[in-house]
Amino acid sequence: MARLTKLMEWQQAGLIDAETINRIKDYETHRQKKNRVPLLLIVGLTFVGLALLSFLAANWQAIPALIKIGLVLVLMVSCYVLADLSERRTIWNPVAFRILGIIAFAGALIVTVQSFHMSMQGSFIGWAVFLAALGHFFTWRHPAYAILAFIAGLNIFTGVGGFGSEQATFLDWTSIVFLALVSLAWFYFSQSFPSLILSWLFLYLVGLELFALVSYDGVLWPIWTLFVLVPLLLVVKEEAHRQVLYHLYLVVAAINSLIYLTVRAETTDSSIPWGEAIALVVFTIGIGYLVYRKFQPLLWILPLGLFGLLWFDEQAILIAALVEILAFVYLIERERQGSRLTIPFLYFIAVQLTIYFIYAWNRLDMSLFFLVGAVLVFLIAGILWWIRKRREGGVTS
Amino acid sequence: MKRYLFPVLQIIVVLGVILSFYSISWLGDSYRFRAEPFDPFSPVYGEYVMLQYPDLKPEDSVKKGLVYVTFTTDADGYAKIDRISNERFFGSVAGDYYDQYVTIPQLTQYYVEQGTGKGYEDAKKLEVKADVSPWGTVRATELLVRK
Repeated sequence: MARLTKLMEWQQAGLIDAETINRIKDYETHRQKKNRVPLLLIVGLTFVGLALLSFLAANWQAIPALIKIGLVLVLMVSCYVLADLSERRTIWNPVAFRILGIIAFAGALIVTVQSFHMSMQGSFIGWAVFLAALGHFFTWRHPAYAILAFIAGLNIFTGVGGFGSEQATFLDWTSIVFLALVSLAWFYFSQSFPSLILSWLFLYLVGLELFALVSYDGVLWPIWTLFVLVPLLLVVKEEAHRQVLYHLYLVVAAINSLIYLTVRAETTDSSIPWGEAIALVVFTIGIGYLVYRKFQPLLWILPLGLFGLLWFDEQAILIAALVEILAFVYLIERERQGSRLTIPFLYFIAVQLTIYFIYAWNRLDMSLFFLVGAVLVFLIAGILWWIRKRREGGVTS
Repeated sequence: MKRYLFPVLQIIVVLGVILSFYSISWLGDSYRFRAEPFDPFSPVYGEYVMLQYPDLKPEDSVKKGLVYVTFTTDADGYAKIDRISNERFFGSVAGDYYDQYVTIPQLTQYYVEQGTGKGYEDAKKLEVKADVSPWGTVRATELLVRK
């Protein structure tokens, strides 16, 4: 009915003529007749399904292990048959059925592990589902499979232990190397969103997890990882994709800068060897050259390379000053270029509030703390207003 | 036939897992472990009994943390530690040594029929039959009340 009202509205506005409306009406009524599934059939099938499920649930304990696993596998195969049917007849949604199929696969593995009283620890199930979902993605190239692969893959990071029953507090070398290779392949061969972002995040997580594996108590791992991932942009084929990925690097760098600032200001006992701090600066110069030549929007992440040297200032005043200057200059620069200011401005506010909380929380009386905080927020709002005014050509509102 | 490639591959994976479990029993040795229930646990996906093993108490020279063990049978017919080390050796089973006992992850939880978990926890004296493969994997096959 809503569609009809809309059509009338368009006709009165002179957008379409009566003949077109008739053709649309004719098409819609015809289409609805063709696709309508009898309501009774749906209700009937639902009840049969429910009965079947409750029968299985009531007898689940008594069913032998192999039959249980077989039942879940039958469910899995029927999902794929339905997917095939829906693809051939272009009805329903084949992707949804295949996703159900992957979930049933995960279910079959869980039932197997439980039936044989094996431990649920270890990342085997995560791996199996991750690879299956990735396989689906590369066969059908639908983003939904990529998202499912990402969710399953996250279980590998959180799952305790490596392959099979090997016990380890974190991932072992085999898993880390394999995960890095698979993520790289995912990144390179997908060349589409959201896969580029998801596989990039995996590579970044692999970098973070490495330091737990080599038992080196280094604080600079997140920065090293971020810089090591810069050359990855060389394999991105489309410029538009690269532009989106720049934002990912910038956002990760921004989050890193705030975390480093907070951690340095709140701790006194963490130290970095001089050698590593200097090595990071040298590496930054190398990466900086690449960034300058090829990916100029990423120049903003390079100051992170100084964090190793600045870490020696225990009060974190140098880091705070650097981050503050960066946030301000970035905001002004973006404003001058006329780009969107949401992210630079959010970062600017986040920097102000972080610095304020770090340095003022323990040193001020509570009421004064909030009073100064309010003044700070007003100040930031004032800057925003000023920027808007300038952009709108001096017209105030 | 790419439409059915994945279900076929996925069935093969599940069959592989099942086979790997059965092969522990086919090729491994069977032991009886004296077991005690602890920390009753019943999550939504099935009831199970958490078990600890009083016989798996290593000597003082072993460091806490990751350990590798093999088993042998004592005079009563129950399993005890044969060899234990913080370094991996062939045929050893990986476990964790904390508090006072060695914990083997595959033996710490046993799924039981809904509603029977409490009975096992009240019985206190339990026994687990398990197969240990020559390559160091374990498969629990039966949970009984010890006489």
